Amino acid sequence: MSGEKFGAFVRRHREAKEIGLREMAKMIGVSPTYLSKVEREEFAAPVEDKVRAIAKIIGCDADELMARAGRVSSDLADIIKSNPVELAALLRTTKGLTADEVTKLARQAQRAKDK
Amino acid sequence: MTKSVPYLTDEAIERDVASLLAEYAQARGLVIGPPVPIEDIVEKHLKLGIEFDDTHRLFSVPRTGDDPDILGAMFFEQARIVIDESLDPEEYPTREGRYRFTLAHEGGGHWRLHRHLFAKDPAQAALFGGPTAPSVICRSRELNRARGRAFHRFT
Repeated sequence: MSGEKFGAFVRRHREAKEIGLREMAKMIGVSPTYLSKVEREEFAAPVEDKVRAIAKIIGCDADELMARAGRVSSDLADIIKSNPVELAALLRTTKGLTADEVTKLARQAQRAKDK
Repeated sequence: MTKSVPYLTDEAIERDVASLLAEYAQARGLVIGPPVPIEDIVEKHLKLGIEFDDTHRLFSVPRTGDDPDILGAMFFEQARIVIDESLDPEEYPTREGRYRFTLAHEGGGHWRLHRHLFAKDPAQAALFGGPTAPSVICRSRELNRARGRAFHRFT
């Protein structure tokens, strides 16, 4: 994931899809001024449901966009809280793995669930 | 710092407006009728970014009342227009007309007709204290004069 900040990332993808500022603001239920300031990093990224709405509009992964917003999806936090010791250990183990290696691990976990 | 620009007759401006509308219509395969899709023309055809900000804070000009003195500004090099946040058409629906006019003035007017006159000038940037100096700042009294000219066709 590149280091591009949330606001600049959203603006670049919005413009690439030829969605106007006011147009997108209406789609996610905010004012054009608010969205303009978010895109310029003057305001922090909006709440999770709006970040997810933006992700859907610009066609990017919601978790990636949440990460750019400096957040973690609320469902992930709940999952960790359900098994805090085991899942924290698992996540710490994955630190340093490549994206492909993590994906392989996730597939193994899915196969284990499907049995 | 002020810069003189050549006088353009109303007819010349009307011709450029008609040309821009025709370009847009042809590019999009549309027939344009009122209201003119000025936001689409500015953002998607002219490829200018629209931003909303407190222009008075940005340019250190105190507000004198409810109505903004600085309505908009054009940044040629960055291809963006800054509109004063008091003209946000969703927050202040009664100002939609003024917002559209300002957008047309900056994009359909200054960008189209004047940017070739504003070559890169380091001295100008230094005057405003940095690389983000606006190329044009438009005050309400100037736009009120411009209302009598052909920019109104965009609204």
